[in-house]
Amino acid sequence: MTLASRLMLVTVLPILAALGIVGIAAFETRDRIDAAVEETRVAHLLGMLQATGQANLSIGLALDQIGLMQARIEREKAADQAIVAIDVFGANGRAIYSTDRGALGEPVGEDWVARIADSDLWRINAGGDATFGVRLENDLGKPAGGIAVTVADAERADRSLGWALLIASHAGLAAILVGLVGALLAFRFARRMTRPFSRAADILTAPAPPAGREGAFDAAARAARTAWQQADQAVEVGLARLEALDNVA
Amino acid sequence: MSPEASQAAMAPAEPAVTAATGWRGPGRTVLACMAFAFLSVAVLSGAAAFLLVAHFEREVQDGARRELGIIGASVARSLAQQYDKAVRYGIPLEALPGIGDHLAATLDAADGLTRIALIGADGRRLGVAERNAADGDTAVAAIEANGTAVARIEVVTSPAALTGAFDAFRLTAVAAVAAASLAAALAGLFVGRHLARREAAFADTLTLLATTRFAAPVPALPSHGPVALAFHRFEDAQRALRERRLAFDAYADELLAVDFDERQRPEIAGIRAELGLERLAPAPGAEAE
Repeated sequence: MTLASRLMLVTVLPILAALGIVGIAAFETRDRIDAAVEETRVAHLLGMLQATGQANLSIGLALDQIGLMQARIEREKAADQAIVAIDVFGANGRAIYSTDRGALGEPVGEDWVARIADSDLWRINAGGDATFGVRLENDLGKPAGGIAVTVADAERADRSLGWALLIASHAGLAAILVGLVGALLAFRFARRMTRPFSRAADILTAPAPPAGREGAFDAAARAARTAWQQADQAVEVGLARLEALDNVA
Repeated sequence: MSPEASQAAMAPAEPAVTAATGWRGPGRTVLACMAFAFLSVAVLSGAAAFLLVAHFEREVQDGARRELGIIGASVARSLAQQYDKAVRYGIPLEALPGIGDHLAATLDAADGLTRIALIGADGRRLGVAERNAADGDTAVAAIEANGTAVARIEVVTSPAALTGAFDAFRLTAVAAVAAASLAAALAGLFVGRHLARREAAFADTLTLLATTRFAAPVPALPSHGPVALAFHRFEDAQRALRERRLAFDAYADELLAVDFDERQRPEIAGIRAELGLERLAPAPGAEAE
């Protein structure tokens, strides 16, 4: 492998690695921000539904007496294609309102019920979907149930794929351009570093000394050329003298 | 040239890397290769990474701004509807308790919101909640009574609230460029050392060839590139000279073969000694044959 090849590898590979890491980090950052935007959107929806539910609970209604809740959750689901289902469930773990009418009265996931012990927004990923939820409190501040909004991860996955392709194309293009510049620089640097060798080779064989700045081996090459010429001349003289001997004989 | 001087010239000389050549030792070569690798990778990958980070950041912020604008408008509408009810029931907004807490709770529930304010028709702030002073896009929803605006809700959204992740991204990019540059410098060290070994061998070869009149062996050659070309050029010169020496030896042997009275033997020995043309040792290949 020549010096130019080695230097090209030394230059281009780290550049590709660095830009690859930047691309991967860009994708992960975009993914995190996308998840945060989605969480903000769902948190807002849950906040509105929670406010509606608790306003009714605070005036003494039971959770299953909020007649407008079913229509409300169906309206919200229709307005957002990413929403798979919205469920309002009681503290007993059974769905009281649901955009999936077949699920009414059916038990919801045990982990959903467990999460209403906490007042914070919660999130559970399962089966390619993400479920966000909050709890509903009665007028005594006790958990009366919860609201869960399930969003499809497929849409986010599509966005992620599109973003990954965008990043790959931009980072790839940058890597190719910068890699080519790096390879060109490496080639020129290698030529510069091997110039003393080329000059020494030229000094040995060319009658006129090579033009340009004196190289590191120029003096030694000139000495070697002189020695070579002297040796060659000595053979020439020796052959002539042998020939003279031969003629005398 | 005297026979003694000839003998001395033909004796194998010790390598004298830097003494007889202009080569300044391996340090300079190694340092040059390391510096080239480090600087070229640092500058090129640093510039490309900077442009990519700026480009990706702009793209992500634009997307996040659009999404948050929609959320902000929805929050403003939703809050306006809630306060609308109070106004319809004839409750003055100024008399509503806990507006600030309500707005703060709404703000806390959504990360991308930076400020929510309830502003009266006269421009007076009836309640406000904010978490930082970042500028952003404002969504406004009016609160009306009998077709007249009595107040408005202003919701400010800022992608900066969500793009804190970019700090880590920038840090990762800087670390990647730094690590790549250091790795390149390390690899440059090995490339430089390899080149320095070639330079040392070449300097030795030049010195030996000069002091032994091309009788010393040329070391193992690299196969490609300008360095190989230089070594090959010297090997070719040595081979040509060796062929001429062999021709001289053959001619001398021819004369000795018919020198029955041995009158020419001392004269030929004298020529050899005077010109430094001692009989060449057979080449390794020739011995095998």
